[in-house]
Amino acid sequence: MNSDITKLAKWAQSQGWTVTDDASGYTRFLDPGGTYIARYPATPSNSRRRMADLTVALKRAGLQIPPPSKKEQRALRRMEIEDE
Amino acid sequence: MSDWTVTYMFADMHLIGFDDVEVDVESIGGAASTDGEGNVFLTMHVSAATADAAQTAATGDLRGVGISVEPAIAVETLMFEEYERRANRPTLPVLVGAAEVGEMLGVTRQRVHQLSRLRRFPAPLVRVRMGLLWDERAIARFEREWNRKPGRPPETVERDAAVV
Repeated sequence: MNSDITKLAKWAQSQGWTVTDDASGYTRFLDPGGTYIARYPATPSNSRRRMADLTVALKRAGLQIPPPSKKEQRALRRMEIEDE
Repeated sequence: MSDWTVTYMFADMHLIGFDDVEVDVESIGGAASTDGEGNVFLTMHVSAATADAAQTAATGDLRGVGISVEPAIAVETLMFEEYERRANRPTLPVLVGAAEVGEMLGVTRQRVHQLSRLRRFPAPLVRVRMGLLWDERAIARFEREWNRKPGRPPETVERDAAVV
């Protein structure tokens, strides 16, 4: 599995989704009912686009994405300040 | 030129042969997915000057690998930045229970339950046996607009009249 999607894959699994790596190097996402939704390649040509495509597909299929926790929000703010 | 994302929705995956289409779309930098309800989505990323030009380019790219978009029942064209912003937006609001609402309003949990009976108090998003959960933003707005009157409520004219 590509490390870009590790967090999203773990979250999906925690919500009853099935996430498997196939023989072609794709990570496949199946909803809690077992229906195939989307896949993510081991080496995407454009990871930013592919990540957005995967996230949109999973959300469209009903995966709930909670807001970042207070701790994550603080970490994000710190990163933004450091970038400036 | 801007980067655009064009998404086509098809109502029946069996009509378009999903497995083959997925491989074809990925071969030109796109992505295919389903929504678990039998609908298929093909997403293309193109550079173009306008949204119309982006859709024309995406349709042409798909046609180039033998995919017709004529059966599509919906098309959405977004600048990539907007597409990505929507992708990263949480689907759930920040939820707060009576304890957090009490902290926000500076009252006890018991008072929160009293307040929750007010017509202008936000309706809870979730009701479960363990309690109620509200959208934090709705509570924050209530807090801003709450005309707080501390102490015992004044007796009404009718009650005074009844005592006399």
